[in-house]
Amino acid sequence: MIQLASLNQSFQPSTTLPLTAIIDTALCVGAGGSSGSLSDKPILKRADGKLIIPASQLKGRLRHECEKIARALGWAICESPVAETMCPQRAGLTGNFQHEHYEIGDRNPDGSPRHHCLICQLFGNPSLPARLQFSDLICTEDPDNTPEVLRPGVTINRRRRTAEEKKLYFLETSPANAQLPFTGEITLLPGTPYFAQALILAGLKHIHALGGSKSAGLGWLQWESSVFKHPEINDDIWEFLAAAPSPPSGGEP
Amino acid sequence: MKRIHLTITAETPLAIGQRKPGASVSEAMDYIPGTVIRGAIAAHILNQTSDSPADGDDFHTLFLNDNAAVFQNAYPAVLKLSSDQYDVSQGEVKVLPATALSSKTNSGFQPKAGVFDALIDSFCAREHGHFYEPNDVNGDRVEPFKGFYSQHQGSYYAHSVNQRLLTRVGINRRRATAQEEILYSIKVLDEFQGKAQDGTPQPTVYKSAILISDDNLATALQTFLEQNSPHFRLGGSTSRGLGKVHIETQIEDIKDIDERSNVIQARIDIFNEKLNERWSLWNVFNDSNSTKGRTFFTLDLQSDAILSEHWQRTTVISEAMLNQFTNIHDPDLQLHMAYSSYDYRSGWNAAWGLQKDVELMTNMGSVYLFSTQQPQAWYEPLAWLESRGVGDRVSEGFGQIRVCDEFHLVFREGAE
Ligand SMILES: [Zn+2]
Repeated sequence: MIQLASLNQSFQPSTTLPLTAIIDTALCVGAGGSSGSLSDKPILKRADGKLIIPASQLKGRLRHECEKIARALGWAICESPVAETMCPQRAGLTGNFQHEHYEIGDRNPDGSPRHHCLICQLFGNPSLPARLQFSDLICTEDPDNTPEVLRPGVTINRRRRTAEEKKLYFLETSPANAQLPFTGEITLLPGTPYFAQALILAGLKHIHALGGSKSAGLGWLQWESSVFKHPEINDDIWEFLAAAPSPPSGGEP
Repeated sequence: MKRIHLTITAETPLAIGQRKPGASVSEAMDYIPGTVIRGAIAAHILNQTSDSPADGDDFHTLFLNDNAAVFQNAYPAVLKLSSDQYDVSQGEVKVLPATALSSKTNSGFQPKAGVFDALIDSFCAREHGHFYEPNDVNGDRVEPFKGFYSQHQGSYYAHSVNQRLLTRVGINRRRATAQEEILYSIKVLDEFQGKAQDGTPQPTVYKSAILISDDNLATALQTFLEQNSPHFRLGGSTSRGLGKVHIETQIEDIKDIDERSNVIQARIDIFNEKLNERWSLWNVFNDSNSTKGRTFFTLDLQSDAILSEHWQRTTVISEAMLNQFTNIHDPDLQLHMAYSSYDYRSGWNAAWGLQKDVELMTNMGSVYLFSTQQPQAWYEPLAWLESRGVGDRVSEGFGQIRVCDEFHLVFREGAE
């Protein structure tokens, strides 16, 4: 029975984590393959010309970092991004997924509880909608002040350790060392598990660069957000994250 | 009965794909179909509760009943007044009839060559036994001029949205590097339509409406939309940041059926007045009186329609079908002209996560010209039809009609 009036009454506003990334070095968030630019990897822009780091890029990196942290804490985590190795299929993976901590309060058609790993509960998978919404990170600087910079790159032949001249290419980047601020947000939809914010903040702290060519010194950043200053995360959340269920006895170690 | 007006402002690009059978790339549509809005709202309601829909509850009344709410398409509402001057249309955004024409070489509303409608002249010419090949007043060849339009301070404007191709690189998370294999491209509707003189970008704005017969439910839905407005995502790739919109709502009482019938009658009267004027011009050639005693009206499709007759898909609204839609019996009803075209489309049902069947669609803009000898019987049924729609899946915005669209009164000498 779904009645809008009672939904409206029990409405819980979502939580929004504002984010600002200060790009210390030039940024190269390329979109290989697009045309209309001299560059082989033109930088991504909004329709009004402002530079952006797409939400997909941030979401992918953050998921990766959160997976690493949760695994390090002893949680069984499925392997993204291939559907077969993600919850609930988890083909070929061992781990204690059938644990009560992984129940999402929903039932399979046969009445058994549905289990999804901590990461899927936040970031979703083909059978579970994501609880987190990411916005693009948008450069607040006027586009007129962020002229495109073309920098030549070369592909290194690893065996000969020399540059291959034929593979000279152009990268389009934001101006170097301009301390450009990129702002956006992560929204925690109602029903997001309570450990989400702790894991997100921990994951963000592990992201030191975005975009391509990190080894060439591009895209290094610092996060600047009020959420880092006053995280207000309860101790019991950290305790929950630190107390991963042990693997089932008799199973794989 | 209530109408919830929706003003939808895009905050990020929208990926409103339509996949055609046999094509692997999805094209972007230039509006937000009602079915996308409906799916997003249904999914959002289901997401907010662990309860399941049950007979007689609000979810059924809104989405599943025979008399479910009608979610109309959202059409682009940005007016380009000049190269660096924009506004959002205050008036209704309508679909130009298929009979609208403009110069082949300089097509568009004034100050270009102008757009006019050929329905009445084509009909008069044909009834007088003439072949009608229209050109504009300068003698230039003309071709159909399609799309959305509105009137603003006495002038006509065409509405469209810019599109672009987004190329994004998928991430191989294990290596945390860009991997070319998962490079992908999506056609999207731009979030901005240009820049005003002072440099501020004009966001893309769409206008739509939801029609609900239960007044209390309409108010509850408006509250739901207002509370949840920051979280609606429309179209595809929403988890990648696309489809973020801001929705503003405004609720309006729909006038009762008597009043709406009067509005329809007034439109039909003006249409017939003009038709008779044109008829007498054409009578110069020979004196014909086949319009005597008959009242004419048009049905103009304001959205794509899914029509069938005797279980077969059709693109024409026949006399029998119209009688059936309106539940009246007028043996004298006559279909004179039908300007319709079709297309195939498949879709994605966001609420249920299912691929929809491929449908034969009658394209928006299609025009049907009918006449009757008993117009009194038709005003009220036509008024009802205008608020409901014709054919299948009207609750998803298909089959929206307008009776005697005023654009039929724009003739070639007065091209707008
Ligand atoms: Zn998982």
